[in-house]
Order: sequence, then structure tokens, then C-alpha cells
Amino acid sequence: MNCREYVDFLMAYVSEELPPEQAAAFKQHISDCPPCIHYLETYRETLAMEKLAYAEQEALFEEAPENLVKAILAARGEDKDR
Amino acid sequence: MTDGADQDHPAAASLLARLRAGEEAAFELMVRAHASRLLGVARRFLSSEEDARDVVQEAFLAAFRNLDGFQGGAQLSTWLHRITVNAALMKLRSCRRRPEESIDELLPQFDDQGLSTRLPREWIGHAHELLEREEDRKFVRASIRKLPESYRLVLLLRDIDGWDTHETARLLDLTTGAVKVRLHRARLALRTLLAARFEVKTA
Repeated sequence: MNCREYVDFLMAYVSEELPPEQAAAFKQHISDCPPCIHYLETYRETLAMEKLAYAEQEALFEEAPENLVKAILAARGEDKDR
Repeated sequence: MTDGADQDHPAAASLLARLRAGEEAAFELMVRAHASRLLGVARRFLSSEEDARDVVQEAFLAAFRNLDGFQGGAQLSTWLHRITVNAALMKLRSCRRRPEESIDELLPQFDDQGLSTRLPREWIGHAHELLEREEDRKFVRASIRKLPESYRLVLLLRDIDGWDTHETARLLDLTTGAVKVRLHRARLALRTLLAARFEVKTA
């Protein structure tokens, strides 16, 4: 397995969908090509960052903005009258 | 889906019955219970706050018009989530202008033998350490917004919204194979954008 194939298999490897033979070749590539371990590590960090980036933001909005609620209720009134 | 405990919630069933009976107070209850979360969903898809609010409003009206289409087995929160995503996708389609940029330059590069032409380096820390500050979390969200739209949407739906491959394919009218390929490329491209900030610098 070369670096290109290794990178192609990253997603399947991380989600544990790689058949055993390919998973073995994947791991073999890391021992043949140490820098490629950083692809795997930073791919995982990327996934973790995606989630953290939004989770923190959402915690800020627990209550619905009152003006949005009012706008929706008003639009509902108009919608009904149509 | 990741959210919602409606099924275990006795109030949810009676809320639905009241909604179906056309009770105004029930509509307001539904709006108050779900608007904030759905606004969060809409904001991820749309960069304009006005568009995000429009989408949430459209989603509630659409939900109310189609209450009969709501299957009792599903969760109300999941159903509203899907309607909001559909409304957001429709809004994006309506304001799409120029052809999408290529994602290729953000993907790892290899030589003829399939060897990396630029070796990856480790990062200066782990995600939870590196994203302690809002400034850094903002950088991640901005990086996601930089992805070409067809890739960004798959990444948001799969990784952030938590839809599975099949649902994502349905929402975007793609094959499941195309969803997998785009998700993989979107993550690799995002990794490249994040590496610019978080990779250790060479001496």
C-alpha cells in the first residue's frame, strides 16, 4: 500500500469498516512510512474539532429569541388566513 | 439521530394531539420548544442570520401544514430537524450563483508512485485543548464555510447534524457512494485548512 491508497482508506479505517486484510495493510503502511501516522491522528483531530466547534456555540442559545417566536406566530396567522 | 427524547416524553404525544386539533397555544409551545435548536441548525447552513431565521419560520409553517405527514413512530424533534434542513437546502439552491470551486488543491498531493509530496506533520495539541478559546472554534467554523458547497453540505449533514449516509443521500438527492466520497474529501480538505493553524512549524 502506498500513501495515496493509505489516505483513500482513512475514512473506512476510522469508522472500522475496513475488511481485516486491508486493515492489516493499512497498519503495515504506518510502520513502513512513519509520517503517515500524522494523517491518521490529525484526521481524528479534525473530526473532534468539527463537533467541538459547534457544540460550544449551541450551548449559548438555550432560549428561543423572542422576536423570532413572535415573527413565526405572526406568519402562522397570515398563513392561516390565506 | 442524536437529539430528542420526545418518545419518552408523555407531553409530546398530547402536544401532537393538540396540534392536530389546531390549537394555537400548542403551536406556540412547539415553536418555543424547538426554535432555538432549529435556528442553530439553520445557521450552520446559511451564513446570513436573516436567511437562517427565514428558514426556521418556513420550516415551522411547513410542519404545521403537513402535520398529517408526521408519522407517530418518528420523533417530533427529528421530523422538525429534517424539515428545517430541507428548507435550508432549498434556500441555498435558490441563491446559488456561480459554479463551485474545485476542492482538489485542498486534498493531499502524491507523486507518480503514490507517495506523499508533502509529508503530514503532527499538530500542536489535541482538539479539546486547541479549541478552548472561542476564537479557535470560530476558525474551525470559518474553515468549514470555506469548503465548496457540495462538500460542505455532506460534512454538515453527516458529521454535525448526525444523519446517516442513507438519509444524507436522500436529503441531497445523491447516491450513497457519492455521499461517502464527498464526506471523505470534505474531511481531508478541512484537515488541510486546519493544519495551516494547528500543525507544528518546522524549524
